Order: sequence, then C-alpha cells, then structure tokens
Amino acid sequence: MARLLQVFGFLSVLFRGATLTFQSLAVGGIVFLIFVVRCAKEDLVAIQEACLRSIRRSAIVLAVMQISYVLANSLILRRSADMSLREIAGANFVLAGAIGFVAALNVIALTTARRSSGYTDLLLPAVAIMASSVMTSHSVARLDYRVPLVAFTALHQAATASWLGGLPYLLIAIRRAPTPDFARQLCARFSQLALASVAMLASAGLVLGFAYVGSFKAVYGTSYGAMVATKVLLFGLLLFLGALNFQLVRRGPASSILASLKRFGEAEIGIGITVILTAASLTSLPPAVDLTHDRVSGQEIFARMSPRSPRFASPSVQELPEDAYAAQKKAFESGSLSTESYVPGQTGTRPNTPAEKAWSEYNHHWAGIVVLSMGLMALVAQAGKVSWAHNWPLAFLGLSAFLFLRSDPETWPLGPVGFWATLADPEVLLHRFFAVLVIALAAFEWRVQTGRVVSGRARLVFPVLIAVSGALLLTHSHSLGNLKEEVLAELSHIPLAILAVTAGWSRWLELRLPPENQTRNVLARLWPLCIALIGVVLLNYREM
Amino acid sequence: MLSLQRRSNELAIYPGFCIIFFSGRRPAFTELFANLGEEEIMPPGRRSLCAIILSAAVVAFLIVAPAVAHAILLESNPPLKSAVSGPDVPIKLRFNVRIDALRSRLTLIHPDGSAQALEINKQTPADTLSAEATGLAPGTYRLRWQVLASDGHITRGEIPFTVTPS
Repeated sequence: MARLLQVFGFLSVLFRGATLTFQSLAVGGIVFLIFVVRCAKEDLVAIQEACLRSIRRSAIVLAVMQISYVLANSLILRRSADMSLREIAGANFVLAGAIGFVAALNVIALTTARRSSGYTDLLLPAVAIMASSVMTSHSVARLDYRVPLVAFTALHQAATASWLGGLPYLLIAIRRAPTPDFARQLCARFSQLALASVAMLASAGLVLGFAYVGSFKAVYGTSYGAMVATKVLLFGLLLFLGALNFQLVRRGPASSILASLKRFGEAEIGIGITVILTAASLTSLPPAVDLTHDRVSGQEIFARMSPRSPRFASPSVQELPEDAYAAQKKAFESGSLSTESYVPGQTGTRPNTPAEKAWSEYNHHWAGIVVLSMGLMALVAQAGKVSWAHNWPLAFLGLSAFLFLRSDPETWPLGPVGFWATLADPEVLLHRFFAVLVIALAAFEWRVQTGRVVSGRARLVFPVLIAVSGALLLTHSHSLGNLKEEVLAELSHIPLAILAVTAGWSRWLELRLPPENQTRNVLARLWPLCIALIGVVLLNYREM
Repeated sequence: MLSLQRRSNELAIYPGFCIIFFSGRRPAFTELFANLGEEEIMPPGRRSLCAIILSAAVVAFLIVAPAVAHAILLESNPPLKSAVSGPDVPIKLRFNVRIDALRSRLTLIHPDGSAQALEINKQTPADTLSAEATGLAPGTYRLRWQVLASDGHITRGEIPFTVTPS
C-alpha cells in the first residue's frame, strides 16, 4: 500500500510538472500568434503552420497530462481514504482537471482546422487552461484575501506563459521569417509583449511574495522564502540577458544581430525553464507566512556558513548506523516522527547522526577540491597559455571513483554487503550507474577540450548537463515542516544551483554566439570561474 | 550515508540525469541544439516537434521530486503527546489552508490497535476539521488525519495522545 501510494504520489508530481510546462507552451504559443505574428498573410503560412503545430502538440500532451494527474490523484484518494468514485468526482482538482482537459481538446480542434482569418478564437480555451491551473494553486486554498490572491496568481501565470512560453515560438518564427526585416519586426513585437509581461509578472509576483512570505526574516529563515529569493535572482539573470539583447539591437554589428538574438533566446528558454522548475518547487512548500516557528535566524546562518577549514578526516564505516532505512522506519513506527505533516507514501525524516553528517561533509569537501581544481584548470586553459590544462575534464574520473567508494558505505568495497548483492538494490545500482556516467562525461568533455571532437552538437552536452544539474538542485523535494536543518541545507544548495545554471548557459552562449560577438570573451572566462566557485562553496559545506 | 529525505532527493536527480544524457545522443535532440537557426537539416515540422520534446524532456522528466502544495497542521485538540481526560474527547484540527472536509478522514487508533473512523462535523470553519471521540477508555491513542486541501493536494499525519480517567 505505502509503495503503491509512493508510486502514484511520484506520478502525480510528474504529471503536475508536465501540466505546468505544456500549459505555458500552449498558452504562450496562442498569445504569440495573436499578438506577435498577428495576421494570416500568404507569406507567413510557414510560420503560422509551425506555430499551430507546436501549439497543437503542446495541447495534446497537456490533455494527456491533465487526465493522468486527475487519475493519479484520484487513485491516491481511493487507496488512502477508501473514497468512492462519486465522492472523488466532486473534488475541486477533478473539476479543474476536467476544465483543463476540455480546453486542451478545444485548442487541438481549433488548431487542426484550416483557417484564413485570425486566431482570437483560441483565446477562450487559453483562458480556460489558465483558469484550471489557478484553481489548483496556493491562492484558492488561502483563508484571507482569497479573491485578490487568485487574481494576482492568474496575472502572474498568464504573464509567465506569454513571455517564457512564447520564447520557443519566437525562435521557430525567426527561422521561418521570409525576410530578415520581418524577423526584426517579430523580435520588436515580441520585445514589447515581453516587456509588458515582465512588468505584469513582476508586479503580481511582488504582491504574491508579500502575501506568502510576509517579512524579510522569512526570506532567509524559511525554505519558501529562500526559494522565492532564488526565483527573483534567476528572474534578474533573465532580465540581464534581455538587457544584452537590447544593447545588441542598438549597438551590435548588423550582420550578427539576428544570430546573436537567437542564441540569447536559447539561453533565455533554458533559464526560463529553470525559473518554472523553481516555481514548481515552491508549490511543494507551505507559504512562509504559515510557518512562524523554528525559523532559521541570521546568527544561525552565519554560524553555519562562516568559513572553516575543510574536513579531511572521515569517520569510519563502523561509526555509521547499520542501515539508514531501518533506522528511519524504526523512528517513524515509534511515533517520534509523527508530529510532522507528510504526503501519502512518505515516511517522515530522521535527523542524521553526527557520524553521518561528518561523512557527508568529508564527501562534499573532497568533491569541492576536485571541482575547484577543474574550474581553475579550465580558466587557465581558456587563457590558452598552458596546453596541458585542457585535460581538466579528466578530474571527473577522480570524482567518479570517489562516488563509487563513498556513496554507499554499507556496500562493497567499504561495507559488509557484497558487490553482486548491492546490484539488487535499485538505489545502489543507480549510484553505480551514475559513477559510470561521470566517467563517460569525463571522456566526452576531455575529447571536446583537447580538440578530438569538433562537432557543434557534441560540445553542447557538457553545458546542458551542468545547467540541468543546477535546475535539479532547485527542484529537489522539501520538508513540509520548517525543519531548521532542511532550511540550512536549502541555503547551502541554492548558491551551487545558481552558479551551475550560470556556468552551463554561459558556456552554451560561448559556443553558440557568432565569433564577432564580443560578449563571448567574457562568457569564456565566466563559466570556468563559476565552476571554481562551486568548488569553493562545496569546500565550505556544513551539516553541523 | 544519508537520511531517507536526502536519499530521495538524490534518487530524483539520477533518472533525470540519465534521461538527458541519453537523449543527448539521439539525433532529434542533438539536431535541435546544433541547428537552431542554421541551415535546414530537419524538416520544419520535425524541428517544432523537437522544440516541444526539448521542453518536455527538461521539465516533464526532470521535475521528479517536487510535490505540490500541502496543508500543514497548525494546532490540534488534543494537543500532540498530551494527556486529556476521558471518556469523551472533542477533536479539533486547524490547518493553514482551506480543507475539503467532505473528502478528508479522521481515524482513531485505539490502545489495542483497532481503528475507528470518526465522523467529521460538517459545520466548521473552512480550515478546521472537528469530530467527537466518545467512550474512550484510559490508554494511549493515535489520531490519524488525512486532508484534501482546496487546491487538490493530500496530506496526512498522526497525533499521539493519552486518555486519563476523568
């Protein structure tokens, strides 16, 4: 039963995330068609068809995700509360899912039909899609100021869809623009739309931030506040890219304006998706205003984060609990963890023992040394004066060996559990698999850095993986309570995530921008610097 | 060695990593990265599909760990690990958000391990669940609650308490 709930709980999260993404893509495409492409002229057929196709495909996936989300949630309710189908059918999330599903079908039908006039008829289902999403947001469940909060959430989500959801369509349209002049027109129109959207989402975000975070102390004292601050930082990064675009259009060399705009657009899409992931992560947390106890104070953060010498002595395997899972289960069954709220399938949390914390710190600090060396060597390699520095990706091999040895101390070669027996444990198997993947990444990037691989696409794997790792760090699961350790862990992971996202997308832009764009030179120094800084942050990682 | 919470975070990361890694080797995925805005290698339709796949891959496969908004218990009667006098114990739980009381459940676990479903009162504030537990013998009880918040998300928890003779 618990395992089944865990599976369906996991699936419902997956479907929810996909729903948020595809609704942004579907609605963003519709807004793009209506406000940027505007009219259905003969020479724009290729752009319109490509946009309609993408909107239709987004709507198809959205419809499937809506249904899947409702089914998974219904199954959880049925299994965990023994509820009848009739009872479940009246729930708010079922109604919201049904509205979203019907609206998505409507979009599919309207984008399939041949048309000669405008696209304003797509606005109605777009509004319905947004409404279905708002119906399952924080705002609907609030006790005070419910109506204004619902209105601001709707504005915030609509602006996000128009801007971030519209960006892929801008790239699609630029590629198919009949003339460079028209491509510039599209950029100018999208720029206006983006400016209006940014203003709207920032204003609505400010109001929502004030309502859900409440005070400056909650910004650093709670996970929710810290995640909101991260979202604001990433938003700032997007605005910075927008400013670079603006600068480029005004002063850049005419020959490379469009090519550069496309590349910045790609990075904006990537960072935009990271912002959506951060927003999705926020919805897993109760608003900071509701968690008034056990907040982390400024002094506690200072005590935890102030620089100390790294830990280079590890506790022995014998000092660690024999089986973390068994210890966790025991604590839960004894009732010592039952004070927390938790989701079906979850089993609460057990505080790590001092030995476990020391083990983890030791791991982070050695990883920090490896990553710092990689960043510094990459920086030297970028300067082009030391040829052997290009071999920096080989340091990944050390990281892989370290991961293999230290990730599962209860198993071979450190622990009593034999090598073959560990392969039956999916978690250990994944760790082993990951160690192999890191070796593959080392070999891959080493070939790129030493000039053995010159293909454009192969070179992009490394920046994508770095950026994706950063996004993942922002989307991991959170405790429902205001556990201080969870908040402090969150605060130590956020700088890593932001640095990884910056490193990934600056490397991407370095590789993708046309050679005449001078920003490339700055970016070529920026990403190794970010990697080195990740190493520094890891070296100061603390759990106690 | 990590706590289960941290382990589940880690587990969340690896599948996403693997999927992206291998997707990166598929032609459709790499073409998308390599040729955005350059000469036509893929037909336009396929490119659009790839644009969608890109977003899907990054978000649908990578949002693996975050859950959705959940109700948290702000206060309860009986309070957590408290002693209350029996045999009748009024039960009241207050949450941080609106609760769908019709689709929420309260179950009392008796000292002998048997479970009793409690009838939830209909006339309560939107953020509160209340019920009456009657005829309780002295002993240790656990009140299990499961709520559906108005935003569609399910949370559960447990409140251990002791009933003393009146």
